[in-house]
Amino acid sequence: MPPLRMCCRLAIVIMALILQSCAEPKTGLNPPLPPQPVIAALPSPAIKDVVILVSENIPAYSKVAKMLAKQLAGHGSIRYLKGSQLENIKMLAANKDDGNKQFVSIGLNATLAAKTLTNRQVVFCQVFNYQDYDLLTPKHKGVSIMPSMSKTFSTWRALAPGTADIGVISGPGFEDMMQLAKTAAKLNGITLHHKTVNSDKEYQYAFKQMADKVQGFWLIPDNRVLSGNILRDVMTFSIHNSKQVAVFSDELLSLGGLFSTTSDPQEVAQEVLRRLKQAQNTEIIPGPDIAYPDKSILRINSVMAKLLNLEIPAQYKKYENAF
Amino acid sequence: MPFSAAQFREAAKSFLHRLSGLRGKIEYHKFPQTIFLRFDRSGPKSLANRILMLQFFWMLFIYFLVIAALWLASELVIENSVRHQGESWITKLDELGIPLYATNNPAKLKQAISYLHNFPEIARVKYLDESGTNVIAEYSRKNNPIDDFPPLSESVIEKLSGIEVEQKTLLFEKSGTSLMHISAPIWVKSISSDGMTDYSLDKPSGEKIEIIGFIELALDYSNTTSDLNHNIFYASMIIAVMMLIASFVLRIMVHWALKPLSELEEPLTRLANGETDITVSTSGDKEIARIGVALNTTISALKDRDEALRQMADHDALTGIPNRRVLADRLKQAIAQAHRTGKLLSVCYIDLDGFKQVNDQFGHAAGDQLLIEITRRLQETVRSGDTLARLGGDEFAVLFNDLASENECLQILDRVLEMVAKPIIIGNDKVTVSASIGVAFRCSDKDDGDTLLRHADQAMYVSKQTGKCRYHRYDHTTESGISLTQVGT
Repeated sequence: MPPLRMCCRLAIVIMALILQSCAEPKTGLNPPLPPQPVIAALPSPAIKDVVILVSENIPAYSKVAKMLAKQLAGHGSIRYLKGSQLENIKMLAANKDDGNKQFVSIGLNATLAAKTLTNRQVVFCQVFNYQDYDLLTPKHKGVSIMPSMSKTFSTWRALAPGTADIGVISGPGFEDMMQLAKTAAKLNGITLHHKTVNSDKEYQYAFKQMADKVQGFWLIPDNRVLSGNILRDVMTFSIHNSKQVAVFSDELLSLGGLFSTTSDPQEVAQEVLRRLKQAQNTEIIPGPDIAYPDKSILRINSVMAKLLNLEIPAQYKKYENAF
Repeated sequence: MPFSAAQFREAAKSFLHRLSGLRGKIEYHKFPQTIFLRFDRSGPKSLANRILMLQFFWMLFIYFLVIAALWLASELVIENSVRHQGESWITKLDELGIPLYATNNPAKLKQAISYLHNFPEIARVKYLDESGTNVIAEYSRKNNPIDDFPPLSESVIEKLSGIEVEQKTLLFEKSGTSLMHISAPIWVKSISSDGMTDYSLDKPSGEKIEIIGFIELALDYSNTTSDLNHNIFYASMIIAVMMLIASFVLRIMVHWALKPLSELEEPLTRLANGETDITVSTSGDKEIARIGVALNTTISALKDRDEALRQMADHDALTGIPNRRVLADRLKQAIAQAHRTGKLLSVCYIDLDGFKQVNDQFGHAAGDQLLIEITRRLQETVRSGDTLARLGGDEFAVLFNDLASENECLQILDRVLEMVAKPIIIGNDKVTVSASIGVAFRCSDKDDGDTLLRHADQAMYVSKQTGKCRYHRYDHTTESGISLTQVGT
């Protein structure tokens, strides 16, 4: 590897770590994360075989799986888990002692099945509630399902320059992520108000309680506190009360979302691959427990923008869609 | 001028007669002069009254049926309404109770309580934990005597916890007349799949349901029931008045509809009393007109039959001329008339001479033929106003009234003798008979019909004895009335 390229990669890693430390203020409520080992640039090792476990055949999972397999160029094999959780675990038990294999699990079910591979390196992705299942170990790390939060809030700022307060509601266990989100929002001149709830009804209640002090809501895909009825209800409530809503799925744009940001499958696949490569010659997976993508796929609902009297800037016109 | 008792009774009888179909008794009081008509209730009832009675009972039945149906329907409507209302209250209370479950602080029920205050039917609300036994918060309306709930039994909790179908199980329990308990679980839902980025509202990936508690709601809708009962009472009064009006209108209509039938009553009563000089109206409704035509035909037939009977009773069957009874009547009338006018009248008794021989020689048929011919000749001879009667066998009588003189009568008798004596052709035979006539003139008011006829008979007898084919006039001057000088041939 040329020395210049190596220097560039080292500089990128150092900058990422600096940003990470800025996003996580050291408060009593949020204990500091354990210090992450600094990985020195290593010579590109030989690629191990990678087993890609996919929870189910849905676009959000299969796109990432296919891109990974493509980039692994014959070293990756995709396995869709169609049986019960027990059957999946039994199937994986055969690979338990194969030290020449790395694993990628896409989706919660696949990641839960891969949790049994305690001595194998597993990189998971497309999992939102990883905290609830103790999925993080030195050998089991992930790539966040969330798109770039910085880009989400900069887009918001560009679409609605007057918006100062945004509300977000989630289930428990997202304190770290919310700290990063608050930092990203603050950098864009937005104050993010976060509320933790335990059920869909609490979500609904908190949503309406919070409505008085925020101009918009950022919906995150926490399935534990969301239900179909509540999603419809809060979206309807938002329209009636002229609230801007950033949603996690294009589908919700048709219910009144202003814009949606979703992670880019290609970027997720690249990030997973990067982590796998970093772990080729190490016992553990180096780097942070969760790596956050830098990109996002943006779509703007022009109908809602018009309804909310928002002018879509010229540079965002290409993301404009009518729903 | 006061009426006599007899006149009063006659008037009352006439009145009763007119009210045919009703049986009654007349009571006469001399002072004050009053008549009581006491009607017999056991008599036949009026058709119109019967129809009206039926109508009345039918309307009464309908009335009670309507009221009962109204009451039952209202009860059902109230109960269903309370159930539906209860369901919506449960939904709202479920929503309002969330802060309570989020914080476990009963003070958070404040918003729910202010909501509950708007509905007086809500008597009590309890929020229970997920076990269904521990009360988290409770609301009870003041001054409400409603009893406490019995705790939720295990079976009820099990039933309410059933989430096989994605619809809440609500348990309704009615106690008393206006109390209802509703129990329902409080659910929270979450989307099953973690893959929310591909979440589709049209194709949901399934939801997990968890029960975090229960709501118990007691509803007291006695005020609603009471209001409704009042309304039903007023409605029943209005219906009763409307039915009374309808009944009155129907009564008029029944009477109007039965009027043509009632009008038949009067001619039929007269017919029943023997009158045949009646004509029934044939106008109006088709059915009644047909009855009228049928009655008129019957009346006409009755008239014809009466006429025939009268003819048979008053006339001689062989010759068709009046018989002795008619002669007696006419004689009586003629005497009365003569008494008034002072005109002369006479009675002639005619007996045929030789009739027996004709009968014996040629048979009774020939005798009958002879009698018919003689009758014809006598009819031609006497005046149109005179009465020719057959008294029996070969005996005839003629009543002459309004005679100008005795001579007029005698001249007619001369022609009679002449006409009778003319030969008669019977079959191939020629027969000849003559007449012996006795005539009696009315000379005094004491001469009645029977006397005159007897005198004429006596005079005829003299004619027979003195040679036949002659007449003899009864002589009032002799004691026997027989005088040979008074003979005509």
